[in-house]
Amino acid sequence: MNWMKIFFCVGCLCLLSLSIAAQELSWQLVDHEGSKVLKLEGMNQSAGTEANTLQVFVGERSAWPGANMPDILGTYTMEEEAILFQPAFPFRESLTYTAFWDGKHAYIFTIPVTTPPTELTKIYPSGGELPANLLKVYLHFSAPMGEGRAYDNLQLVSAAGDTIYQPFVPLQPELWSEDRTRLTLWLDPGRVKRGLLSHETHGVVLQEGGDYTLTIDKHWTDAAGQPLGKNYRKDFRVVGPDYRKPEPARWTYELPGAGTTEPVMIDFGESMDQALASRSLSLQVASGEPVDGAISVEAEESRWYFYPRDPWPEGDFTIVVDSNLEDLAGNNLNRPFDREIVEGEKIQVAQDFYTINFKIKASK
Amino acid sequence: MKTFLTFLSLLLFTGMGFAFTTPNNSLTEDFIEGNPEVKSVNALTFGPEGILFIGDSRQAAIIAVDTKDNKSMQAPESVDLKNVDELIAAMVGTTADDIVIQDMAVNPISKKIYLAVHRQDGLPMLVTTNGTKLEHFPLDKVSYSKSVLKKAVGEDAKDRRGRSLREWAISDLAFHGGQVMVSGLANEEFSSAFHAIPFPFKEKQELSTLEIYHAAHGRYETYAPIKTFMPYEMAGKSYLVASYTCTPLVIFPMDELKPGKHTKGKTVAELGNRNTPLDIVSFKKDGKPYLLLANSSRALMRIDPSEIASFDDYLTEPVEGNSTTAGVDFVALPYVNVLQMDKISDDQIVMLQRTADGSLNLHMQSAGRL
Repeated sequence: MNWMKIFFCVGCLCLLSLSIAAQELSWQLVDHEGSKVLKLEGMNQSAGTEANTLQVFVGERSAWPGANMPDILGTYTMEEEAILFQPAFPFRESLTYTAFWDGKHAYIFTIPVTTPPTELTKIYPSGGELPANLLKVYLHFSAPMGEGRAYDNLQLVSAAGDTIYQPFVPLQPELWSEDRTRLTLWLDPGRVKRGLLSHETHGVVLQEGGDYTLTIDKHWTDAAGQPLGKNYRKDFRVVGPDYRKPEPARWTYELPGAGTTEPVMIDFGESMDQALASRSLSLQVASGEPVDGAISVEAEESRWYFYPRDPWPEGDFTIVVDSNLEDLAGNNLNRPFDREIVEGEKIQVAQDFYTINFKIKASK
Repeated sequence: MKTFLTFLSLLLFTGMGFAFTTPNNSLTEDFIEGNPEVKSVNALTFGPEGILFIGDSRQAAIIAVDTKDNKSMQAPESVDLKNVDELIAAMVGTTADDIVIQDMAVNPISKKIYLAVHRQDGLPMLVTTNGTKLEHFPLDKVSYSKSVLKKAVGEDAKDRRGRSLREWAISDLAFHGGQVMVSGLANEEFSSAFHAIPFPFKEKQELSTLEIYHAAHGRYETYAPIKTFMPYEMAGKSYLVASYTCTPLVIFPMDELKPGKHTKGKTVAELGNRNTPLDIVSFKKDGKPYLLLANSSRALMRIDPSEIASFDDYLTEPVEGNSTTAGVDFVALPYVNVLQMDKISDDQIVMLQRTADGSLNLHMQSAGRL
């Protein structure tokens, strides 16, 4: 009885493969809602009711890789005499895949590259002289980057040719902006902070007076899996550490005359953190309403400009500064990055905002 | 991960079980069915009843998912899965170098291992073990509840192109005493956020945002971000054992952590330079509790918590000579490149380890070897 069953099944399979062979299988990559979908036609309709007989694997394969190799997750849709396979995660550009119908009849396909290479557009701080206790570096890109491999693609080399060991904290998750076009890097805070062993025994990452080059590797891949294609570098010289918090009272200003659209300018007297300087200051009229205009941070992030949309009226204005604003060494308006503890000293009460009041007068 | 259930918290949950005997009052009563639109899976931890908490940095949210994976099982005799990254890559149609494993958590009820995975293009997925196989855990149709953190840290100012580049990366997650605890790193200001969110999540909830300082050798104090932490009971008191991005191990009594308060941690150890802590778990060896700390550049460290409890020296003196560590003693164990750990039973730890030949393996170690 059992033998008969087996004979019958084997017979069915033979018939099935004959019918497949008789009909030419047609494979096609088609666009579906912005992504590539694999379409198989020409298989025998009755044989194709088992959607799991279509399997797609990563890589170029001459034979079915066996049950231990997972096939790509996705959904199968029957469409008249075709099966559509939509991967749960889109096929990756430039990768090659192999699809199998019933464990044989392989179809090898490569996903074409359609996106242009991503470029590194900006590195902040933009200056050529940076403090020995520099805390952060920002890398800006023209398109979303891949995540998880940043630290393998960055190198900091001294003028003597020494590669600095792990200059950046290898944080996982990496500190990307939501659209993954900007990465924040921290220089090892353990070595920046005074008092900690890392600092005391290994010293700071950056030696005062030294020249360094930050290199961004051309093999770093973007979100589409494509490499940058060229190396980028930033050269800088290291100057003395900065342990002082920024003080708005020491900033200088340039004020325009009423009736003009000239900018209001703040000179911080030092380079500030670009991201924070771009968003921590806002300009208001006396009643608290914000003034419409554009902010620009220039001169190696040491100057803040506010360009009004409309000509300035005469009157009183206020610039509100968020106390989170930091300089290049992570000192903010409320506290220096690290603070020497003095017995009996009272901790200064932190305030959320600092305000700067000024008057726009009639042009002379 | 830190699914840290002390005897005390077990009692608490049991107590809750008695208090809420009708199913209508269960922890998942307010859960909704559907797609929580998870954008990233950066941190995982299990709460009671098979509820998985997912830290989603990209939408600054904690998502509680009812995994329905709540059939009690014994820990397996062994866990030995080789080339985990290659197997996952095969499932998501890519190569192993395109895969990043963000976190790992063991369901304390079913003992299934959950892995948080990203493809480099940022697409997140959850993978679970099923015996010797890996399975995809789809997140598009689940029973869930969500708590958004973004508003708690202030509505973000947008740049002039209307973009907000500021983000909070969730660095660690734990469930303790009916609260989800979250530590976060900002990608602009150098600061630390620590939230304690009561669970079940309420529509409007009070969040504790803590500012945490630590002192180094009595000379300087710094406002620093926490990389990994774990709630821990010592001598009948609840503590937060935290490790900073620059390796000091610091403890805070839980009852001193109050919103808006300048809370200074007690630095109990410095565990070596050029190193970043990756994960902390607790386990028992011969009935005695220990902590295990995985590091980016140093071997796995075993710490005796009773030494922490009795450590009164705040590292007040600068370290002499060329020593590279200070404070509470630790034992370096012969395991390097351990990327993730979690407890599968009181005396067994599952670890995800990159071996010398470059393969990424998931295996279990019992206390005798730790």
